[in-house]
Amino acid sequence: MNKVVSLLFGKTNKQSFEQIVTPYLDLMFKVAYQYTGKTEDAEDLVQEVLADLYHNLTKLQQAEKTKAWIMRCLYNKFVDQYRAQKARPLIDSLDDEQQIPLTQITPDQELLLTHKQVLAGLSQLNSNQRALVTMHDINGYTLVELAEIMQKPVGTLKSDLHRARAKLKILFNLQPSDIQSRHCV
Amino acid sequence: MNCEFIHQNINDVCNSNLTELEQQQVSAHLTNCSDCQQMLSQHQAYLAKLTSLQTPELTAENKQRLLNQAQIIKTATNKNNGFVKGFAVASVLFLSIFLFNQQQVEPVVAPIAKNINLEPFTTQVSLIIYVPEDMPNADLQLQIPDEIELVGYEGLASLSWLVDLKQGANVLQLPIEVPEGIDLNQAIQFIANINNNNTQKDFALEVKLVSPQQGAADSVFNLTNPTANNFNNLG
Repeated sequence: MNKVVSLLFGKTNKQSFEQIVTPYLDLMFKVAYQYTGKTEDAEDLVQEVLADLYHNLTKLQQAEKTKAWIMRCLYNKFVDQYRAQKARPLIDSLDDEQQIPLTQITPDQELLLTHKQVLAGLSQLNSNQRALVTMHDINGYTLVELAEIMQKPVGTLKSDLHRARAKLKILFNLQPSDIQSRHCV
Repeated sequence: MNCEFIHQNINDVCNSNLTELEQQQVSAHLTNCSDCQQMLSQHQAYLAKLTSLQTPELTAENKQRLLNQAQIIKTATNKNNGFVKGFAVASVLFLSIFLFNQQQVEPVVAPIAKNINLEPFTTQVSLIIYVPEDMPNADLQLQIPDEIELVGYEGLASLSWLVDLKQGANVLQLPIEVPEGIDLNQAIQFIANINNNNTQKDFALEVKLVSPQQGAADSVFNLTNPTANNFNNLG
């Protein structure tokens, strides 16, 4: 009878959709927010990725590297959306919807301004550069891991990352004169 | 140790992710290289800015909503295509159970002519149960129609087992053998019973066996049946 039941419900040896994706939801949303810069857009992006994952549940169940597979789907979906909405700037201004929730998160106005500055900087990058910076410099993925996720050679990613960093450092006004007053890590 | 190493491993240098030996060599190099000192300071400031980016939390309620919505979107937009493919690939007995709102797929209109199966064949039943909410540890009983056999368990009249039904679609696949001499145009009857939290529901489901040639066409009929589409709302 156990054999029959296993035939009836593949769940005995395959994880359900929710069991597979739930551990990665926080990460997906976090990265989606870093990609898009807006809570609403991040939720929409995650929603679309989840629908695709559910549509390809069998493949998802068979994926050897679930996390990399999911992050690749997220990246691909973001790039698709970026191309579709290329004319629309990611962050319209510093007075966008983020002001209210972020004020609730932290009363530190300097931190808030930095947060907005980072979002505005990221919005000036193309989708590939934005994903690279987000995944590598914020979330700590290695270039080898990103090569698998973004399906590009490590050398290409290294060049893109270099260009993205150079652009951001200019946007962040990281001039030698004020570097001394800053401290990190 | 040279400038190139620091350039190539700038994040590791900033985050002190180096071996002890490498760290010593980098420190020694930095004391004598003002360019690397400046570059390192600039990169540290850059990383500090990036890591100050805060991400809003995704609430448990929103997580569940996203998960539920994903399955509804899939059901509404893509499920039909999947089933059509399934029917096109093999002759499949299609069975749907609609729980707790008593909706039931109208049986396919039986053609006048008989379609007698001349040779036994094996196929697969796709049993889809839609439930409006999670039903952990539900007791599901399924009576096998006399006309068919469960592959590997010939003679078995019914199955009963405990199962966790999830909100939305729950797909069961059951291999069956259809013996010769069966009219493939006739409707056969499955009896399903679900006991959840001491609430029992019985369902008598008339299902039509389809021949491989008819499978694709019949599945399209089922899936475009307005009644069948209604159950998307239950998910």
